[in-house]
Amino acid sequence: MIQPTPYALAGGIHPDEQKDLSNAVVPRGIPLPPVLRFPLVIGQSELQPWVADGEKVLAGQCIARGNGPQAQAWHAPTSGLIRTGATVSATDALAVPVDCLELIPDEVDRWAEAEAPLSLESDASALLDRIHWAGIAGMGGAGFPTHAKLALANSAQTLIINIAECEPYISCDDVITRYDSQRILEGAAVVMKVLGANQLWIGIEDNKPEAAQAMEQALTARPELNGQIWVCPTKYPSGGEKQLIQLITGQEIPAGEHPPALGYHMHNPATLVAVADAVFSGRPLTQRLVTLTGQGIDDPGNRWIPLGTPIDWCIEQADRRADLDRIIMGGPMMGFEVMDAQAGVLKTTNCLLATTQSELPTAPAEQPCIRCGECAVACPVALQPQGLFWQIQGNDPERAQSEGLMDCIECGACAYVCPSHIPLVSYYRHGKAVLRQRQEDLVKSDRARARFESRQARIEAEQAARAAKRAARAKQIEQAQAGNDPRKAQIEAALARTKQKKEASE
Amino acid sequence: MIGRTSPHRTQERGTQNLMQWVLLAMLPGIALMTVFFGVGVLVNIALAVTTGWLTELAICKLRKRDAAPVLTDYSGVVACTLLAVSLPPLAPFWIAITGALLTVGLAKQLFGGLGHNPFNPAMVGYAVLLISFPVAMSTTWVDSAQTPSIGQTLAAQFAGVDGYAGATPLDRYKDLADRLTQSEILNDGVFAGQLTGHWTWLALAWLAGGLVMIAKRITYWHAPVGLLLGIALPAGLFGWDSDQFVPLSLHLTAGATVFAAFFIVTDPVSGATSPRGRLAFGLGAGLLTWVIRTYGGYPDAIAFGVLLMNLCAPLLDQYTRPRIYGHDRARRGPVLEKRS
Repeated sequence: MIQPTPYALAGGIHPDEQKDLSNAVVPRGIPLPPVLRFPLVIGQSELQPWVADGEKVLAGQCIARGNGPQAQAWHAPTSGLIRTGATVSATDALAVPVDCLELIPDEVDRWAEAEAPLSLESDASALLDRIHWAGIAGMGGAGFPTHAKLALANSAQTLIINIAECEPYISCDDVITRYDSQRILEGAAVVMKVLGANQLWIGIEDNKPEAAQAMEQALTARPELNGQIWVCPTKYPSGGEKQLIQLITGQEIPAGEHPPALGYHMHNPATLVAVADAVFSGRPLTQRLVTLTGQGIDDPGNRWIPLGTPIDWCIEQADRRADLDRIIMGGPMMGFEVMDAQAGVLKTTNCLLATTQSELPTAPAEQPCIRCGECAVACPVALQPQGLFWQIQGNDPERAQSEGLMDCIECGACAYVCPSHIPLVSYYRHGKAVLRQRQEDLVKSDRARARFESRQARIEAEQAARAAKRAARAKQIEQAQAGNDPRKAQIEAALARTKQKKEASE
Repeated sequence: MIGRTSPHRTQERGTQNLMQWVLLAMLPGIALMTVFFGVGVLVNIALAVTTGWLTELAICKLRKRDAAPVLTDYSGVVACTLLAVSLPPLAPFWIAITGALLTVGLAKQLFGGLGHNPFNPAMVGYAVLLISFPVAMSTTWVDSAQTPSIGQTLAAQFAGVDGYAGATPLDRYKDLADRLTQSEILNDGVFAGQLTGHWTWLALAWLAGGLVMIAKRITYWHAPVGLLLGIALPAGLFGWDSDQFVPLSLHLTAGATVFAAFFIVTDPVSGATSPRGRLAFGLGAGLLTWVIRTYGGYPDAIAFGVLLMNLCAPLLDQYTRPRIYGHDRARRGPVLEKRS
């Protein structure tokens, strides 16, 4: 049932793993903070509060929800009082201030009545609605709403559980698999039912033998899932969605497509646990397993943390050290530095990495690129990073785009190996942002041009009409001057008539 | 410069470290050269490195740039050492100084410093010297059978005292092959009965350094193999007639062939970057070298071969791009459609 992956990953790096800081600790909860914070903007989507300022809510009650097919939702992790009007920095690389809901726990932790449990016999649409209701989003990092991901592609034959977890330090997927493998498979069964998938693959890196074993045991109890465990060599970034599929099948997801195009659907184990909780226990997603790790805290390990718990509270509970330098959400390769530690834990917060200066020193100053090509060797998607860098540095992101900028998965392997310490990923993000901006400008200028042209046409039409009228009037006057005056004719006619009468009388 | 986002961790090895490894890898070759050709080799290195260093300092001041990172990244030291090693061991002192000025000032800093030079700096310096001062550059080689003493070396380099210098085997063989057969050529003083002699050991020393660099991933095998193949293929094909042509063994061991394979065509800045591009770069430089050595006026034409291929490096990069993940085929050549 356990097999090595038959294909190899192109490129990749071997950064120091540092998983043993946290993966041997039994997961446990942390004390409730005095306040929980829920941003009302998650990525691109906005949420509306479903409760009023000062309202008392029960645990599990929905407190905010968005609109549209990709809507996200927040549910109260505990009972307490709602406060609106606060702002907090968005927990992402940009850290712009956003509105947030605050929940002050009342220490009673009274739960709202759970929804009626569903079963695998339930209708697929009922299961999908339940996943939507529970506010589940991909907990591996991207945070795409799970119901939307399932609704986008219900033709996948194979469900893949991604437990590769190749980022250094992070161990929450490893630990949740060790302790909750059956629950993961329950969630997997639901997703397979919704998708109509008939086989289950589990991808694990070979530095997590305990997780692979736990999964194998759980799978023997559920032969109907048709499960298969693929163990891949430990190499970053083998846990990337496209990379894991390449490792197992040798297939590449065509550029611009997603795994369902080839019949695959990939989920994170924590997401599947949330799905199982929603479907079989009627509970929404209100907590997640977070790896608290790094040299900046004395008590690292994985903790079940209610969503919305402020980051600084989490770090305090893990015995913050005086020499803590910075906090990174996610791993050292793809995570981002937390600018506002008051912000709450999100569904995508898989790791809070508290580092010291000696552990993760400030990168040395950038030096000129010497085109050594190490980055091209490390790139898992076979780009020429030094070329992209050159084009973006020369303010020509269009050229970088034609050389594959959009195929970059921003894994950071190139910047990791760069001997000149060039922050290559930052350059790519900048290039992508400039391209997006230029695209928007293009749309705007097109619209402005269309508006201008239609106005121009209208003015010309009006002028033409006016000119025609003027011409008609001028013609009339001209006719009058040329002797075609009707009155003159009348007089002449009258004269002629009197002349006739005269002749007749004679 | 741009704000730094992820990744937050980078590998520790920096440019400076790479350059130090290159210098280390050159040590066996430099040591053997000193044994065979005298201390002139070391004098050349000292003169070139000092001049290069001062030139970079002066240009940084002129450009109002921070000189510290430029002077400590060792790239100038490497370039000047490469140049000095290529020079004749008894060349007059001003040759090394002028060469370093050309290498660092003209070929490197004038184009914008490290990473921006289209041509290999050491080879630019060498080629300009060779064209401008052909006598000083070709009559000051040493016959390794009669290594000059320290006093003789210094007298030759600084006082212009002549009498110890000679030609290189490549040079001599080519000259003599017009009228003599191989067995007759071997009786000539430079060869003393042996075809390659001490040059073989020198080639092996450069090879050892090169292999260390490849093992340490300071450089890759593609360009060296390309250059050696580029010279060996035509030399093997035509060199069977060793009474008419310079034979394969002499092509590979004598002159700068092995040195250039590992230390010159491997220059990342002015070479191609993709693996196939590097192989093509080396191959082209090798073929051109053989052509010029055989039909041209210069006995060791590596510098010209490399400089000509430097011109082609961007083109090679465009045509050797690998296929990107998820695409049907590689996009080769100029990829951008005409912009409106």
